[in-house]
Amino acid sequence: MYFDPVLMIALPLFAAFLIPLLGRVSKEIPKYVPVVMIGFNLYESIMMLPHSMVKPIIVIIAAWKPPLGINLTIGALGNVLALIISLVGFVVAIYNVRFVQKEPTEKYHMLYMLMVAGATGMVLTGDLFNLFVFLEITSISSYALTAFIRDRNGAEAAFKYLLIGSLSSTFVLLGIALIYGTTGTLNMADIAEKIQHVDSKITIVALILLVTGFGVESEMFPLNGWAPDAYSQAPTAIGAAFGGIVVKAGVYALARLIYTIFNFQGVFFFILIMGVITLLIAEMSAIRQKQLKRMLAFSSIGQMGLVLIALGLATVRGVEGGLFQMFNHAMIKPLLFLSAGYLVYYSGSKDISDLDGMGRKKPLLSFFFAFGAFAIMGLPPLSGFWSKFIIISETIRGGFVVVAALALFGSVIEAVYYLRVVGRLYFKQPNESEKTKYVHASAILAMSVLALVVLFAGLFPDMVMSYLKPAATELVDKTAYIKAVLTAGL
Amino acid sequence: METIPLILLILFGSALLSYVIGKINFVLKVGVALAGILVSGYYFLQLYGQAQSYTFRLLGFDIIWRINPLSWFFGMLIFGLGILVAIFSTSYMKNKERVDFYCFALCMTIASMFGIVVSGDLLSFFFFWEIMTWASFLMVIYYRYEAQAAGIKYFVMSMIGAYSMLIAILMVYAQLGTFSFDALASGWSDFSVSFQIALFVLFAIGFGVKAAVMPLHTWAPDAYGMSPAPFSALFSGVLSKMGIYGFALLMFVFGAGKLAGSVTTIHGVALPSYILAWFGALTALIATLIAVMQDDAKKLLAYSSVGQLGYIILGFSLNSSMGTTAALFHAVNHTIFKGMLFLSIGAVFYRTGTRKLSEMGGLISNMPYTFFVVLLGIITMAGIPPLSGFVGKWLIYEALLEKQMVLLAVVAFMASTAAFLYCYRLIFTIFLGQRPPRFDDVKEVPWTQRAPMLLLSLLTIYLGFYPYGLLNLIGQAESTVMGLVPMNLSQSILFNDLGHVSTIAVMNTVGTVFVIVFVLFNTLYKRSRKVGLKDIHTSGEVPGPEINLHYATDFYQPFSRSIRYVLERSADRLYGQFANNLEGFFDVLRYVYTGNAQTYALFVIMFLAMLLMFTNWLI
Repeated sequence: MYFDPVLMIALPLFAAFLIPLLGRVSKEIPKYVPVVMIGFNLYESIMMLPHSMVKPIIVIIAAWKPPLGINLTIGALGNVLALIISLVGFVVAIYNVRFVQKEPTEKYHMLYMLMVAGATGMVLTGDLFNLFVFLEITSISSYALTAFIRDRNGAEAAFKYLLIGSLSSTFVLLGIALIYGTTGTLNMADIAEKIQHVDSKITIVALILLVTGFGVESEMFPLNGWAPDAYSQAPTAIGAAFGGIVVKAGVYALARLIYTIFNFQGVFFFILIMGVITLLIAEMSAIRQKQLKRMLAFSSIGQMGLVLIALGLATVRGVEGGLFQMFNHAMIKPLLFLSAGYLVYYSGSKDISDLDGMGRKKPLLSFFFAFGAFAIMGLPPLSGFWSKFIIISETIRGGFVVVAALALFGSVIEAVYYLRVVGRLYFKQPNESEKTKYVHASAILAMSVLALVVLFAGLFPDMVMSYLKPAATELVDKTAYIKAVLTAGL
Repeated sequence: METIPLILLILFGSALLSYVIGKINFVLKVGVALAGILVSGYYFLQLYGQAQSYTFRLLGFDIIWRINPLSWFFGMLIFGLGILVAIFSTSYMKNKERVDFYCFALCMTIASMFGIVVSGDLLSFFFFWEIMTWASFLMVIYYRYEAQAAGIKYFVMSMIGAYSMLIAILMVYAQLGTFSFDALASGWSDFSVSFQIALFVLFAIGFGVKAAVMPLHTWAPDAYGMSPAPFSALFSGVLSKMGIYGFALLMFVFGAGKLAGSVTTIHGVALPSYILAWFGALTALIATLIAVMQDDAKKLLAYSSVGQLGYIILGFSLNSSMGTTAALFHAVNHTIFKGMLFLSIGAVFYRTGTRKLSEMGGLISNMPYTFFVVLLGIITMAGIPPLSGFVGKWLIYEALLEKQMVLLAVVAFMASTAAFLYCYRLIFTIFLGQRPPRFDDVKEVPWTQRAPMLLLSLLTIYLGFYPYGLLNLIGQAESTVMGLVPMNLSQSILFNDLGHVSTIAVMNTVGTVFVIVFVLFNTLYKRSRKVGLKDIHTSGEVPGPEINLHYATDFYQPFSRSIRYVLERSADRLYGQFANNLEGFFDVLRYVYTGNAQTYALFVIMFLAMLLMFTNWLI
């Protein structure tokens, strides 16, 4: 039994603004608010899953039926992504409970809640302008969180992010204005229906503006300049959330755009090529990085490149692979970030070269990191293997053997730099100095959950895939989606 | 429950269990691992002669696990050596650190190798192949600190091989829509010639890395050398055989052998196969030359292993029944004698703590059993009658001559002769000569280590005397799976058009000569005085123990000078330089990310502008 899906956005938003007040009552309460709220979202998205798999759930707000009113359209795709976002959000919230020590903690929790709520809103909404609003909520809270550690680097990274982010939202807004001006509607399904009758010279400009705008959030090269800095300078848990939450919402918006709203075939090939370029440049840049979190950021971009390749294939199977890769990346990258956060904390420096011998000193953390590295390299039986396999398989089936070879070449580079770090953890003599502070149980719990999900999804990929298949179908075949939305009020 | 999944379950289960339970105590973790391997070995034996298969669907792909004579043949190698290695490890790994990790990786490797041989489709083949890679990688890095470079090199090269194979697999899938071997076997001839050649090359790179064919061998010496000694035996003896298994599949099951019908042939062998044959032969020759110059016992064996695998590849690439028989027979031999030698080197290391040949000497009286095993091992390795190595080599030469490839036969023969040099080096520097004083108290290894080595020695004697059981098994595999007409066999004589050899006659002759010499030696020299190992006199003076009379250093100097040309060119260094240059290039490239916000904003604008200029890209 699920509650009104609007609560998934409304409650976290409301709670976010309540946090500062609750913080006055007790310092302890704000820590647990995100856990409870995002836990509720997780519950909701799991409970809705069986329903949305069959038929999109259309939530009509204030009795304005689509295409007039703002409505939530929770199809298989939106629900799966909401589930991923809530799961990552929940796990990171657990981690946050003890991780955030720096004042003002309640503001941190508030911004974090806003970010998750915004991302959830992006994947659930059926309205293009609403999408923009939620994008703004997500981005603005992300900018603030990037600068949360109030030092020079954090501020610089946040400023870069802000600059690129505002450019992107300007373009998104322009694109939406163009669409609204020509079709006279903001409902995504309705736009998809009406856009066929609009001159393609206008719509292509709208498409370009929107692709550029959402390309920034989905880390497409060359729009991803903000990512390395933001990932590495933000608090660790936020870095994890970027990979698992913000980027996923951005990719969702991009996919919605090219698959559902617009009807251009060339754009898929373009996305495919951009995916390869993104992947290769990111992996090449990662190999000589000196800072651990920066390296992880580039690896994250590389993974998104693989997702873009999958989206560019425009086949159901390919999109399934891409969604599986998004799921894996959403589980593995936070695992890597969270363990890296503590490793960096214990070594006292952000540099990879200072991680020597941590495998001896912190066996569990190092194990989680190594596990994550193996999973993201795509070694069986962990889940990364299957998604990579499907994507490469579909790429070759689509006739893009060279693209597949290049993507695999990127994977080899990835293996090299991950192994170097894992090597440092285990192969080097530990340094003498040691901080004797234990990892919090909440952090261990968070990482164990992620690791177990990765292992489980790797051993039983069909379980995950059975949910991704309807999602991929919804994306590739848009008629069912349009029909469900437009007939909802009747 | 079906036997094949049961075996896999037991093996993977014991890997996890020995790791988890292993935290409690030593006996338990080793016990679990050993029991797991033994029980699954028992179930495996029962699969002999059966044709079971087990299929299920995963992610919409059909997964087939099946057993046939060919997979039984390779499974036999896995379990045969696997069990002996596990027994050897019980005492070898005692009191070592991280035994649970060792047991985990050992069981995992054996399980994944078994998975490879029972796979009836390319997907599960690749799946288990990758598991094998990382499990053995864990083993290579067991001695953490110095093992890093070797481990990463091994992993990266394996990955390049695996991905090249993956592309081939997926190209097949794109064409046929299924991963099953059977479909590939029947569909191969419909592919265009260039497609067939592309598949051949990609698969050959994938298998060649594991089988350490030159120039893809550079990981092998380091990885074999770094992993714990019992595992080196398994590594060289069985794991590298998975590459050989791959070649067997490629040539005779997938159908690359059929290429001969559509491309240029040389001596009746398709050009790609002929090139592969040269790769095999040159690998045999060059690796042997390098092996001669090694001072590290394990590296010596590693290079020798690379060389011997070259012979096997050579046998396969002839695409004939004789060549295949020779290759498979030699594969078994290689498993046996590399098992013997790596285990003995492990035993010596266990007692002396060194692998440097120049530091050892005179251990014959301390470790007589080990000496005996090494003696038999090098006799087999050199291919001298009457042990089984002779049969294998004989078959290879015969197969080459049958195809009238004289030049290849000459190269193979040269390699075989050069192999005598390292064989001698191995036994002389460790067991003969003057013993350094610090090894005076070295004792023979415990029975748990002696027994596996001696069992393998018995096996090589048996196969030298009576190879027909094994040849029969190979014949079965050839006729049922590989589509070849098995070689003509009788109970005691191998014969074909060129001539024949009777192993029993050979055994009898050698036995008689041995007895005669033994008797003569003992009667004629009865009166000779027994001299202690260190009782050496030079020109009437008695040298003290500090004077080195045992020149195990700078062995084969003139030889090394004469082959300097070969040694100077190292593929390993070349790859290292290439990788470094590539990394340097990447390093330049990464300044795309300038760290400057204005630049990034410019990128965004440029991206937008470019798209707006070339809108017809997107339509």
